[in-house]
Amino acid sequence: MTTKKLIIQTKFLNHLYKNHQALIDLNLEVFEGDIFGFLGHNGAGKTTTINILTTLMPPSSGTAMVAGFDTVTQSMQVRRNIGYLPENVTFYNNLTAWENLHYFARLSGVKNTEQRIAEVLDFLEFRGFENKKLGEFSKGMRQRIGIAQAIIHEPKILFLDEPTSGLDPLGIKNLREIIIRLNKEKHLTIFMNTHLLSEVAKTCTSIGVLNHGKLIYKDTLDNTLRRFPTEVSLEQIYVQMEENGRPTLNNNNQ
Amino acid sequence: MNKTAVWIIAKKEYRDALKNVLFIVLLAFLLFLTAVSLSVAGFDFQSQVGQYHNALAQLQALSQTGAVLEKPQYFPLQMLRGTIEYLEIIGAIIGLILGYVSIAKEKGNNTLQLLLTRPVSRWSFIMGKILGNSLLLLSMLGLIIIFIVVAITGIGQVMFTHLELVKLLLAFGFSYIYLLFFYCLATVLALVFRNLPNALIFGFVIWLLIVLIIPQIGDTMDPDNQIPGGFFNHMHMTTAQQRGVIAQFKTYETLRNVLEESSIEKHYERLTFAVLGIKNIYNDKGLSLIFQDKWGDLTWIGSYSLAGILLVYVAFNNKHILEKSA
Repeated sequence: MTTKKLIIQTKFLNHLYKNHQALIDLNLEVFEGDIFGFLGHNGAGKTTTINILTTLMPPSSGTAMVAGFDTVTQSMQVRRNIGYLPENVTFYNNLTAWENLHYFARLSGVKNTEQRIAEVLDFLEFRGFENKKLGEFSKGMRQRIGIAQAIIHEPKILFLDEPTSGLDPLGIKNLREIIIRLNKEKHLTIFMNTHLLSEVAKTCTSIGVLNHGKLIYKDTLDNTLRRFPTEVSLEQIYVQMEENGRPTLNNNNQ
Repeated sequence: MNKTAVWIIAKKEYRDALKNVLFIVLLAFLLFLTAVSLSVAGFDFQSQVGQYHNALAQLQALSQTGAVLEKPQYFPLQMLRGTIEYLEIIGAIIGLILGYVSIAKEKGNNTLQLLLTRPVSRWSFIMGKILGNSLLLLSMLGLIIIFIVVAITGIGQVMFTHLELVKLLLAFGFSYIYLLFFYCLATVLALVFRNLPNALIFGFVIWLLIVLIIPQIGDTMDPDNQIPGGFFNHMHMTTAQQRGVIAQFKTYETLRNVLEESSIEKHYERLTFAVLGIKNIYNDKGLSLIFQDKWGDLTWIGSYSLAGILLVYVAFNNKHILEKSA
């Protein structure tokens, strides 16, 4: 039995907005090589968690370690190891796909930008579109550029915030395939915020469920499906957990 | 600070602005107004020369010399009064637009999150943005200088002295500092406001107050401005007598001065008018004498812009910056 390495770990993470406690003592563990689906209703605290893990904001209290580095005190090291695709990014419409990627690659410190852009576009099967302006792109094409900018500097972890939002069924399928290939071929750990259970079931290897800032469930997808034998679908498991606010279960994926 | 990242961001800011139609239109408008103001100043001087020659001809016809007439003297830098006044108003708007667009494009496209998750410090981002837009403002001012020099030396056939050229460059250096303040102001507002159009509206309200309303109130309250040509001048009062009169209205004068001092525009105008000799008492004076008198105004505009940069830094480091862009 091989022991997987922890790549994301939060301890008693709290975040307080003006009058709203977005996260309450969040203790989360994600292992290297996982595709982690972070589920929760709107306003559950998923984006706040990603914002903290990607160093965009410090937590009110508690700690978060990403790729072995503290998100507050070692934010630069964290940033070198992560790629991020926020929800609804439109990028710079007046620039071509290549110019957008070139800009983000250079800011990420990529040395041989031309070669790296070509590699990433090849991997995403997106050659031939690099000289088109992003203003002409569909949502699905933009998401590919979004993934491209997120992996251009060869990070260890990829954070995706509602990546399928606004995509048509074909776009969702294509994105799912890309995510799985990134995980399998590039060995990227993927942390994905979503509320689409169908996607979690088809893509993720482990899941966590956030309810009003509290992690109410965390386990592998296989274990989850085994644990709830009476339920017929993941959706019902999710609804039941949301309604009951079940306590966090220990993860058994090591 | 990551110098490479600063330069990458600066270059993008510069290129983006050159593709910004509003910026190009405002720049063209400013150049047009500069041309108009130079032409008006040129015609004004031509009319003074014409009047002088007419008067001289009349005196000579009466067999008298023209010794009693004061020859109109040509000071090319004095022709820039209109240009400076347009920079005060339109230039400030350009600064506001650049600052607003610089942040609004990142917030509007949600690219702010992408930028802030790169291994680049926030200070480097700020410096990149400020450097790019500073180069743009300096290019814009450079273009105006070239336009002025070509117009005055090429069309007017008048050469600038070295001192005049230095004064011209200094005045435009001060213009950059003045415009930088408005760039920073709009940047801060765009960062702080959740609703971007509100940030722009608020920016224009401040512009209106600083550039138009406060200086106008100060000017209107100035007793010397009550009649054309100056009240004291009209009354043939010496400087000592003027001071004596003003001393009788100490509270009133203090209030008026506080109002004027609170506006960066007034300090900019006082400084540039002195350096360019538009204010007659400074015309043809050496720089040391001018700065002896005007160091306070220079300190003020420098402080305003420095405070602007610091505020941009504070706003950019606000941990709630992304909540505000939601």
